[in-house]
Amino acid sequence: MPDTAPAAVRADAPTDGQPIIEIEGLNKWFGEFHVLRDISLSVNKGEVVVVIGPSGSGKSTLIRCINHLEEHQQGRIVVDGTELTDDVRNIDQVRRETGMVFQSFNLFPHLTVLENITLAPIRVRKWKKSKAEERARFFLDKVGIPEQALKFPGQLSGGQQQRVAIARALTMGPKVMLFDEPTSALDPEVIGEVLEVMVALAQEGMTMIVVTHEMGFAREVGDRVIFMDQGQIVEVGTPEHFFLAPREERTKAFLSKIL
Amino acid sequence: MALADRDPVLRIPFWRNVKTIGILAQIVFVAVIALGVFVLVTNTLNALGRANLPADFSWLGSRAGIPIAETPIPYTPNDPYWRALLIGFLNTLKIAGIGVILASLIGIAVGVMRLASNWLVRSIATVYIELLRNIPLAVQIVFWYTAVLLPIPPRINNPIEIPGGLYLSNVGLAFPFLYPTYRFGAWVPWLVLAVVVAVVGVVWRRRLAQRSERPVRVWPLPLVALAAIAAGGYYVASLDRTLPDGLAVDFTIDRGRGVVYRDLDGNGVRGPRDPLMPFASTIVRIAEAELTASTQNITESGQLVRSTFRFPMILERNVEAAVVDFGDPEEAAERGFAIHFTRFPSRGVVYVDRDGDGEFTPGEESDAETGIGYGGVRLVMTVVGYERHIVADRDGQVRTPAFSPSGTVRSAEVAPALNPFSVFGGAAAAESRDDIVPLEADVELLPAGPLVLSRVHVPVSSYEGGMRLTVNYLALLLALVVYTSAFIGEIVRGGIQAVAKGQREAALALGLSPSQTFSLVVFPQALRIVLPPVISQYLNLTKNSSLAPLAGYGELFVIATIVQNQTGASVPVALLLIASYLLISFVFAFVLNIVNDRLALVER
Ligand SMILES: Nc1ncnc2c1ncn2[C@@H]1O[C@H](COP(=O)(O)OP(=O)(O)O)[C@@H](O)[C@H]1O
Ligand SMILES: [Mg+2]
Repeated sequence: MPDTAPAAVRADAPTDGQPIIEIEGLNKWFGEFHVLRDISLSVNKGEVVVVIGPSGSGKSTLIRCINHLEEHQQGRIVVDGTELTDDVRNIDQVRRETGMVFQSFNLFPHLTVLENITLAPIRVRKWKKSKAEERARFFLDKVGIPEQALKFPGQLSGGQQQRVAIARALTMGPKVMLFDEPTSALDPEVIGEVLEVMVALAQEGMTMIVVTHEMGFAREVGDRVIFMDQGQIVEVGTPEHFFLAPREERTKAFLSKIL
Repeated sequence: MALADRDPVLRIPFWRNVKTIGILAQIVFVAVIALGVFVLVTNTLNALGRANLPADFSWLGSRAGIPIAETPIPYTPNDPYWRALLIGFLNTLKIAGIGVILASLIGIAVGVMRLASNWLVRSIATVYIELLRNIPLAVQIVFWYTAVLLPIPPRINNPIEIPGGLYLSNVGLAFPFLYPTYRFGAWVPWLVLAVVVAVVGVVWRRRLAQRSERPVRVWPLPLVALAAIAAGGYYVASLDRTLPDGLAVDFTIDRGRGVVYRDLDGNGVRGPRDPLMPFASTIVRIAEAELTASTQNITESGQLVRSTFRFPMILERNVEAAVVDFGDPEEAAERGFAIHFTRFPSRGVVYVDRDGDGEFTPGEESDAETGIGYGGVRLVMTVVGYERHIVADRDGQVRTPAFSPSGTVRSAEVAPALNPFSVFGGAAAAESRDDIVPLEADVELLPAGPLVLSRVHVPVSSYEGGMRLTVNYLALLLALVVYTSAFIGEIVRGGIQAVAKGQREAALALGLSPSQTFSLVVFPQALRIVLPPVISQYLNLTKNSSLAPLAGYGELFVIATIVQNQTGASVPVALLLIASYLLISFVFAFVLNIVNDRLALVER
């Protein structure tokens, strides 16, 4: 099977930009299972990259490698000039510069919304509490739920929780945002409110890697779409390319299912 | 409308109405229970009456006559039954209270270790938990008691000294302890004040923490205030250097014993009404006197090997000068005896310098042919300037070695006939030695602060002073702690694992360090999960302490069994037992509810 797989496709960013994420020859195994194969991907500052692909193709694993929630075995990952090595200082540095939003929100249920957001800025960035709270309220305002600051996550709807999670990541002031299927766990009627926030964020120039099957989002703000299958990048192109003229059979088969 | 005027209550017959059925069912239920209780109680009372056994609690006031080895509050066999049972209850609390704390600490450590990334650490924790959870508790108690604590520590006459004034032997562990004196009452208001200030301080810091800029540490300042006020109060309470009226010591030097008492009737002697004063501080001074001891053969592996001597309770720092010599120097010279000290002047061996190097060589403390030591050789220690600070025990007793007047025993003419422990006063001794001075001890009572430090001393076969934990207690404690900690360890591991993996990942992704992630995100959530099962382990520990007879520890169940045998009051005793264990359970449940409320997650 590995032998018959076609050669991996490189997903290089346009050369006119300033790369902030560079992944070169990335390989990762879970035990025997080769989950990421020869991934080469770079992302420019301000770019929005949408990752699509069937379930189990390694999308989550790829973006979790970028903030070292998963360890890779081969290849180089450089985020904003810091290479991910075994050095804890590098790992900490990269995690401070990347925000992550999970499919299952992962808010801390024992802390209020405000405490959820200010925990890391106070403990990691060593901000004063007043500054942290001020920034937290700024971002809560931005994601449209300023009035929920003193509630506990359990008291919020899914859409509200995901927006808190986005505000929590943004308050740390990251240079890159990673989204792992942020709307998959949401009821259809609240998907829109989360996507709206993400679109606004993209329009403000945030660098984003978004794993999602919301092709409307991809068309609206995506600069590039990457299709992954079986741990490989199979096809790269603009959203229009994917809508109008996908090249690979596998891509066509997948798109026919989700569109 | 036709439906509106149909009154459902009127239309439905009562035996089909859910409401009336519910009420009727409850009435029937209560009636059945009441009848059952009534039959049970009258039957029991009748049976007890026929068997002539007490069915009430009037026996609680009669003399118990039960000897109890370990008593947290003063107790003698002359005390009534209720006091014996109270001692049992306190002993149960003593084992449960300390046990719960130790089991929690060890349990948390083992539970966290089980999830460690280090293979060795993880394996040790796994083996600990799996092994100890699966051996019945009774077996573990018997193991700790008969296989570890009885045989392994040395005999009480030669205990291990652990730095810090601790002693361990087959009798138990003894360690220095602070006890409240008659001055303690003067300190209490200060302690109350300190606690009040600390509580106010915590409330204030909490408020501040909510409003302030940086993370405010709530606890340090109030705790410092607490310590400072308590210490200041201690100092002020100690300023009063007067002794309570009529405080006196009745000390007999040749017996080495005395009591501190309060001479309330003022007649200068200790009468039956004069209360004893526990934990008073005294100094005993003796200008010059003698002590005697005999060497003893100590058996090791069935062979008599050593010729040790001990002068109990004499330490070098207690005396200005000390000389140890043979009771019969001539005979000793004839047999070639010499003295080797293991601790000058109070401990050593008698040996014969067979290799002639002038020093003790191992082996020389026993006879070359028979292998038997030189037991029974009498030694005399002459002390000059003996001075010891003694804290009276709970019964007001003070103890020193038994002294005899200097020169008595060595008087060659009378030595064989004279009891070495007798004071000056034997007519024969007086005639034979004119230079013998009557023995006098200068006993001075010291003013004391609210607390005194009582040190441990080891007279021949028991501990004096300090705090003592018997091997029975230690065996039961060890078994309960180790057994329960294995269960708590599993609960803690499960609790940590039950916290969703995403919580850890979200915290790490935000840049929190692994230790911050654990302490700020994972542990607080795990705590909520583990608390109820851990509290039920606390209850198990408390209830399991009734296996105490296996270690010979006198807790509630043991004493209640004896009481029941003696009085025949089986039903009242059983009721008291049930009430006691229920009381402890209620306290745990109460604490659990409070903590649970505070930790509860707010949900939509
Ligand atoms: N921690 C893990 N251990 C072993 N296999 C894993 C682990 N995480 C993911 N996998 C496997 O790796 C593959 C890729 O997973 P993932 O990156 O989550 O896919 P996607 O996000 O594209 O659905 C899947 O087959 C999944 O079963
Ligand atoms: Mg995924």
